[in-house]
Amino acid sequence: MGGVLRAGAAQRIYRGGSQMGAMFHGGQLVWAIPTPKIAQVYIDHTDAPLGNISALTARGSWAQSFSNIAFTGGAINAMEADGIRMNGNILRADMTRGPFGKITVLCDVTLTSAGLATFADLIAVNPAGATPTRIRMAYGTSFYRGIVPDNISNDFWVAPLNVRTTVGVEVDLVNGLSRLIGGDGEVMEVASLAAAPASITRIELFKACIGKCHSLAIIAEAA
Amino acid sequence: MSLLTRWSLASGQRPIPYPDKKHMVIIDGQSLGLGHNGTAAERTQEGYRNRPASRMHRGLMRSDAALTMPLHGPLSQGYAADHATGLSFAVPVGNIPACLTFASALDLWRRQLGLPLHRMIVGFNGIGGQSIVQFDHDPLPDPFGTKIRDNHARWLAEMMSVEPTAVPLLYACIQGEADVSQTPEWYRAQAHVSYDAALDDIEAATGVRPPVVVWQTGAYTNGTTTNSGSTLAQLQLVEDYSAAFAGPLYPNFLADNVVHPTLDYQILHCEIAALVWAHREAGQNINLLPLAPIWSGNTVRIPFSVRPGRSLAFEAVDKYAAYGGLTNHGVEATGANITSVTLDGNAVVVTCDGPMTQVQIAMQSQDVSSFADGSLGNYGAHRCDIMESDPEDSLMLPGWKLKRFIPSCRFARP
Repeated sequence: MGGVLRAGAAQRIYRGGSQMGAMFHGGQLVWAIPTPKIAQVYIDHTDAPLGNISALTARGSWAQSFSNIAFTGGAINAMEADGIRMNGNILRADMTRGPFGKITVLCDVTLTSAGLATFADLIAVNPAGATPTRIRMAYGTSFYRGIVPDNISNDFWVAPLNVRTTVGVEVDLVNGLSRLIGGDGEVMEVASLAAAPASITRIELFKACIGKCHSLAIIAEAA
Repeated sequence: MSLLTRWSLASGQRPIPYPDKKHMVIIDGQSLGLGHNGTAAERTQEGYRNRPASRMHRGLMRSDAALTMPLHGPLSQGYAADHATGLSFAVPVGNIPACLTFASALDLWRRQLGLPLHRMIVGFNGIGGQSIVQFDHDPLPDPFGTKIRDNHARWLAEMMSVEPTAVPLLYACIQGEADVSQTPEWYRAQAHVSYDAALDDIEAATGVRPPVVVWQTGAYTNGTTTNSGSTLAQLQLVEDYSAAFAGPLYPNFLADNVVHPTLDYQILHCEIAALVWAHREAGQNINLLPLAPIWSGNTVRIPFSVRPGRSLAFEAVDKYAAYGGLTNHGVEATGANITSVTLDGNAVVVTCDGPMTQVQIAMQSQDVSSFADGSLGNYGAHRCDIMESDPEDSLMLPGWKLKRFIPSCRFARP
């Protein structure tokens, strides 16, 4: 099922069925995603066309990816020369297929300001659900922390401002786990999804965040 | 594929190779252990700097339930019943405790010296302003009785519950400023009681009695009414406990014209302590301490334990010039007038115009508080510009040097 859904010019690099894909940026390996998955989208400033992310669904080869993970909202979350501009708007990713066993979201970001609202959620999986998993920055602070479903907080420090870093969230419904990974590769695992949702239908990105997202990956896997 | 593998592929980085066994860095004390009351920017900077190496508890609460336990501990409030649920990145809220700064510096020096890396669990359980008598198991005196010990024991128990394999790396108590009016004999005796109480608690909780690190306190701007007993006794405590000697605090630039160093100088004194400790881990004792003086007529030669290939040196910059100055490089004599202070290899050579009965270094009894600058910046009353030569570059503060000044000391002619 699934197949290679990586969008844009770099999709060419990913052909090869189940082989791991890779993309090079500035001579350094910066990204690689194995295939296949139920749904997978990858957006990078080196190959995505400039302009609003939510409008990518209408742009040629990108349409295939977004038939499975549809980006909406966040009209000013535009792709620029060095990444997706985060101006505070929510970029919503609706999972149009499923059910999924595991969702992985990874962001390579540079945050340039404290959040604009009480909580700035860089990544929020199932944001409206009873047990959301988030990487969140509290208002007025200059670093993110992970918020996992059992409301453990103040415990996962992601990055200071103006430092490029890669962070991510994995929600594993099969094993009832949430995992968060910080800028140095530290993984926090929380077995707290006992009351987990049966499915994941929505991911919200960049809520109240200011800065740049240089690349973004969403990987949805079967149970 | 695991999240970690995906992250590694995405970021082009490898996770930091820390083994599972974590070290507990236990540095208590009064306000200098509590650390600099940082601005938001400073806390962010220090939190980020420490992020790879340091961990703190999560889940503990202060007894008044006013807030999740900050890194600098419950202070006089004590802990609530909530138990620790795990470890998290060490993020300072308010004060930036010395244990955090030390752990960050030690991580860098372990890397520099090629030593094994270990993540370090940090936390502070002292209370600002308290005498050494508040650090023992005696319920007296008021106001805190056994509060510090109780808090400390609770912290140890909670840490062992969430990280049973953690090993206490060291114990230190940056304390002494509250006892500057005491005699050396009094302070040494009471410090033994309090240090032993802490070590007993650590051993009971972990099965390990860790080595001790001693900081030499004594940086008040007004030193006219002190006996500086704690300052002198701390040198004896280094010997009593075969401790690592972090060095004196008097060289630090103060932020408040009283006793508290700026964050930069907290970083420097903690990094010097980490430098000493890291060398100890590498099998080298680099404590910089006075050795037995040699008296001869009007001259005394005071050697110090400088490292092989190094010597003593005067600091090139007169940092005291704008803050009241420095006389005779910080050396004072009793019973005669000093005619010269020179350096000879590892020794300070003091010559007087007669047979002096006592010589002391960086022990001035003076009030220099009137020399503070417009921002209340100042140096303490104890002053000296004699240091070990060829200081290392700071790994924490690029462009700074880790100048190891000789400690405050006093010698009576036998």
